[in-house]
Amino acid sequence: MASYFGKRYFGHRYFTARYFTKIPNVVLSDIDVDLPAFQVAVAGYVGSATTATVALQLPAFLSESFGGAPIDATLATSLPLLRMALLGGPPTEATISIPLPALNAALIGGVPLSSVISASLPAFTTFLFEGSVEASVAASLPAYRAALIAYLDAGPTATIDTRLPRIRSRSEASFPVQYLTLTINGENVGDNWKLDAWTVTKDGSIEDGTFTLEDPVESASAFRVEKGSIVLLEHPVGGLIYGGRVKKVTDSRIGEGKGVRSTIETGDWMFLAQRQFIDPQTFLPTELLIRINEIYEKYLESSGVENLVPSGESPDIPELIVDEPISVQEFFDRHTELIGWPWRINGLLKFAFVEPGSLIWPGGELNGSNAKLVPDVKWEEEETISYNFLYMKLAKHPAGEGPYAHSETRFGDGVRTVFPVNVLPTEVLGELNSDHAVGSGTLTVKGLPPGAKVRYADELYVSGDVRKYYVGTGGTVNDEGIVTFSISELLELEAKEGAQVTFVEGAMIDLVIDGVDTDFAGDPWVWDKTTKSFVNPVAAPGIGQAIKYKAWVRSEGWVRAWETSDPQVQLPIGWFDYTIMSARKVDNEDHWEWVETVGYLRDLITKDVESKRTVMLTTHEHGIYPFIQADLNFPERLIFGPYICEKVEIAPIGADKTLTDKELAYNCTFRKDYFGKKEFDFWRPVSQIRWGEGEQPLPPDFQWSASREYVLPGEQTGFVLNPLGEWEWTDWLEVNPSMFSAAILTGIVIERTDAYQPYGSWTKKFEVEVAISVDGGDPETIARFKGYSRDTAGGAETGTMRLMTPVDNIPQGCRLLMRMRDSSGGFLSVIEPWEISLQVYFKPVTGNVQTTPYVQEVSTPGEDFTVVTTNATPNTFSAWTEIIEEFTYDALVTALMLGPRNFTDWNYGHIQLAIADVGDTPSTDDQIVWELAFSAEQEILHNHSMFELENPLYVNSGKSLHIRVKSAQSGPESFATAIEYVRVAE
Amino acid sequence: MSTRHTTTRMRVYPSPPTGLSLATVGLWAENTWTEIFPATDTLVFIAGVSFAMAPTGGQAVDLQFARGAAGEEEIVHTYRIEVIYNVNNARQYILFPVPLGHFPIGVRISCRIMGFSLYANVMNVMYYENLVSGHKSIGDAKPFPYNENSFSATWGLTAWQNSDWYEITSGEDSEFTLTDFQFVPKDNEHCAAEFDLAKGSVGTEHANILTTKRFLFSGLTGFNHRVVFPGGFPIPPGTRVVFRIRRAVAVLTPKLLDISFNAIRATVFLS
Repeated sequence: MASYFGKRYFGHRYFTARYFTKIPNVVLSDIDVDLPAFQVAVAGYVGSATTATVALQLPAFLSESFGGAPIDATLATSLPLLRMALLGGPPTEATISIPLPALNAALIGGVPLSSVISASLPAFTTFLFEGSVEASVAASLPAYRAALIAYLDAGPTATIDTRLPRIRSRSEASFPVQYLTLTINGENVGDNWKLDAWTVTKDGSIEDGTFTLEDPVESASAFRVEKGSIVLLEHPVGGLIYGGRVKKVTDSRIGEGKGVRSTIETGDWMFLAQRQFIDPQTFLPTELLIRINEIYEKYLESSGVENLVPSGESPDIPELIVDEPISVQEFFDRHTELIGWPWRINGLLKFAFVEPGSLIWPGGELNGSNAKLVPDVKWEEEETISYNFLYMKLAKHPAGEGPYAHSETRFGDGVRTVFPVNVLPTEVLGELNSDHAVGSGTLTVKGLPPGAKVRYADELYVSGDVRKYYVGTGGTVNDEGIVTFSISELLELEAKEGAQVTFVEGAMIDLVIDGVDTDFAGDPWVWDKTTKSFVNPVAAPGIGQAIKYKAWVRSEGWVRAWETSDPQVQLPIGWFDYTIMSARKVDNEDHWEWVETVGYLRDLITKDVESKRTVMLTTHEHGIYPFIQADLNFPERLIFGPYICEKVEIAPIGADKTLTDKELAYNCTFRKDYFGKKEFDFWRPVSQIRWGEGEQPLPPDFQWSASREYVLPGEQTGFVLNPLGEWEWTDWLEVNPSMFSAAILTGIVIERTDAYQPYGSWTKKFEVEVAISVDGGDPETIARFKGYSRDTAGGAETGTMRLMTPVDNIPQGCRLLMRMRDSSGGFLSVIEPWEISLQVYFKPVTGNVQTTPYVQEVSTPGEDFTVVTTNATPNTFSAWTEIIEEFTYDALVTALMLGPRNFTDWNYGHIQLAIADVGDTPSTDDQIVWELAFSAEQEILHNHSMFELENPLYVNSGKSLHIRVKSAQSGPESFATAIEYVRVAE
Repeated sequence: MSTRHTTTRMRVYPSPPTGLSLATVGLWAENTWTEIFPATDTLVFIAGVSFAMAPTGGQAVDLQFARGAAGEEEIVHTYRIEVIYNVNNARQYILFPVPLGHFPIGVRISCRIMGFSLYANVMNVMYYENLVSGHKSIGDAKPFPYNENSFSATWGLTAWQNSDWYEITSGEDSEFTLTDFQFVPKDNEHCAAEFDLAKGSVGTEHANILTTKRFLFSGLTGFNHRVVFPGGFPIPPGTRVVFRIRRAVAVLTPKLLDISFNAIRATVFLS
């Protein structure tokens, strides 16, 4: 974590402690593996009488060994992966009781981590145990289990000493009692230590500290601190100040014949959230604490972190899209920014994500003082002069130096009577040229463009007055820029010379028809403020008739070209191109500046956002970063940084906000270090994308690529595979012996060549697997396809099977393979070959295509499709039929296969997919997630076999997927269905 | 990184067997508009259509979506469909390569079909409401060619022999993004086929192939012949774009293929 406020020091402490002993130098280990549990897991697995082959893909092996599904992988091993899996897993408080020196050496550095573990379990075991059990390891997991148990039962010959520090009691010390108590692994270190430095987080808590412990006397029993030891720093009154673990220990001899100085670097428990990463996925709208608890259970619970998060009601939070892996810490931070609730894993390994003011820290509630006020701490302040940059997007343009003139000529077409203007004639400023007392009925304004018209009913504001006035009798601005007009109601406040007058929408429009300056307010033309159009309600201008209008705008940058004829429909995006960036100098008061943001932004916003717009400033205390929600006149959709939020709560400004309130201002602060180091994500609307002829950016989610796709094999018949029998895999067919480049699989093209194509009546279902082999290892499947063929030789969609999330898992140099199986047999005993080609990108790929590293899976692998039976009554939905009983991970449904029944027309079909809890049947409309109107093929045409979901459907783990259909035909009739899906993340 | 997935429900309007009636009034003639939504409550993205057609197919139609009040419809999207041959009014579904937006809240959305002569069609619309995340477009969809018969290409006579190059466009004023192509066979062969997309001046196309797609080719009584790119293929302004085809089966006499392309008239480079 970043340091925010420089350093705090304790004064140096001197001591005369003696009689420390030390233990022999032992290689420190950092292995946190609970080996007995590992053993149990292996034993349990073997107990299921597997006969799995000996090779293991280690991440899978580890995952499965610790509680996952049975291992069925037959993949190569990778020691780095093993190390990562072991060390990256949850820490255990258990000390290492099994030395496994070879493993230790291998993992910690004794053996190059890039060394190759051969693909067999015996070899793995050999490597792991330095051959000590080699003789007894056979080529199977039972043998491995037996060997492992035997090895463990034999009693490892050495244990690693926990080497807890052996510290004299305080009473033996000869220096003054200090304020703070340092405890390591439950033992009071006494006084023989000093805190060299520490850093604090943005919320004022200590995040890491460096301690020095000294043992001035050479002694066999001198203490050492071990990595991973638990460190607690407490104050007799304030309670726990800091807790964490030892990250690094450096021992150095004080001098010849003297003791040892141990410098220990420690870190808080927040690292548990830093090292865990959440893979890209979508989180559905929910309540804050529901989502937080979900993340806790998935990422923190196994680390021994106690959850203090309440389970009660909490703010609603919108859908969240994680576009790229993000640490749990950043995930939480984002929610803190969004909602304003702080979070923390405190020194007692307790996790809290709570309302401000109730955060457990570290020994009690965070009340704004005990988190920061530490007795006997020297304050060292670091001068930093910087600026806070506040980025905002508002629904209005920034103030300009205008007004500027802008004109455009349109041409009649003989039909159109409504002509929207292509600029926003809003907020033209002028100034009063004399004082106007309360009750004045006329205003004289200067500074407007000569020739500009102030017309009846134009709207205006006078600075200092909140009331909106309307022009009674208009006028034209003279050459000196002065115009006098009446207002429909008398002034309520006195307006002095120089006061600003703001005309709002609709002001300052001039209209020239065929070169003749018309009286815009006269017949037949009228100005429609609502649509910002000039309208001829009597007759449409003739074809080619020139219609020139002129408007004045405050900023040249605000002249916008509209493309469509209806400006009203463009309002949501027409105002979104303006970013206000402001810089506020930070003073150095009390180490950070409390920028009075509320008032500042209030001025900014209210100046540029008309009153009917709504703005809400959400502010909280301590570690809460103020953010801005501005109603951008767009339907509840805003983007926050990389995330997309919807249903953002909007609250009106003013009535319930006392923006000058001191406390609110206090709360709405930006700490300089925070902003100095990190760009503040600003809200921006989804529809910032402009449209119009020519240069129109597409939404960031738009999928595109300028890279070439290739066919394997190209310009020749596809690879021929001969099925072996009903759902029996063919041998692997080599597509490419060694890929010259890393590649991305985008799909396959499969052609049935039997005698019954293209219009044969005999249905076949098939599955195809594409695999890679790395370094001669066993094939690893990267994608599975399942299709339906009644006559797929043609352009049926089952022949051209796209991967809706192309698989990015073909490394350079790998061997590319595929195999297939079909439902040959039974009634259709003819076994004929299939021809299959692959479509790939070669990397790198330019563009914006979402890919996946995971295997695309299919429903009911190796079996027929799921059967759906229609209702006996026409146009009535069938019962729900379950396609997937339970997704065991978050998944994307990428395609739906449908094998229509034979020989019957089936028009007006209707398919629906729904998601339900496991074991449940969909019962409510809101469980329906996808539906389609279609028809099953008529008698001989079969073009609807595969429905590709251009936007794959996100399904959460633990859910089931169901389908129902209806048709205009009487049932019951049955047809087959299947899906393809892909894992979202590990 | 962008996302090509969603939790937003894809919907159907109207619910079958009810459908919207879309008449055609003449080959490539503009008919009146049929209202889909009188005024949208949310942002709408059209995901596709399903329609039953009276003609036997085998030709192109342009499906158009417009926004605006009755009498002031403004064409937003035109998506070309090469209609399959059929015998008994089978319905044809098309999920667009990208859901098509550009319909702000409150707007009236209407549609029409051009290309057929004097036929009645029944159509349902698949759409999203508030498609916040996921693959989508607000650029205007417009095909090549537009509002006229599709390109006609001639297969090579021998297996895998390339056809000539056929020009899709000599260059557009602004960037556009090809999303898919569709075709109607003019002979009754059934085999694998390939397609090259290229750019460049005459004679240089073979050195400027942009992408290659394989597909299965089925003859006159075949299926919906559509090939979709994994993502839109962006074409810079002023770029001449051409295509050629080849297939696995030799023919004795030249055989034709009608082909067309759908595109989004917008740019990905400015996003």
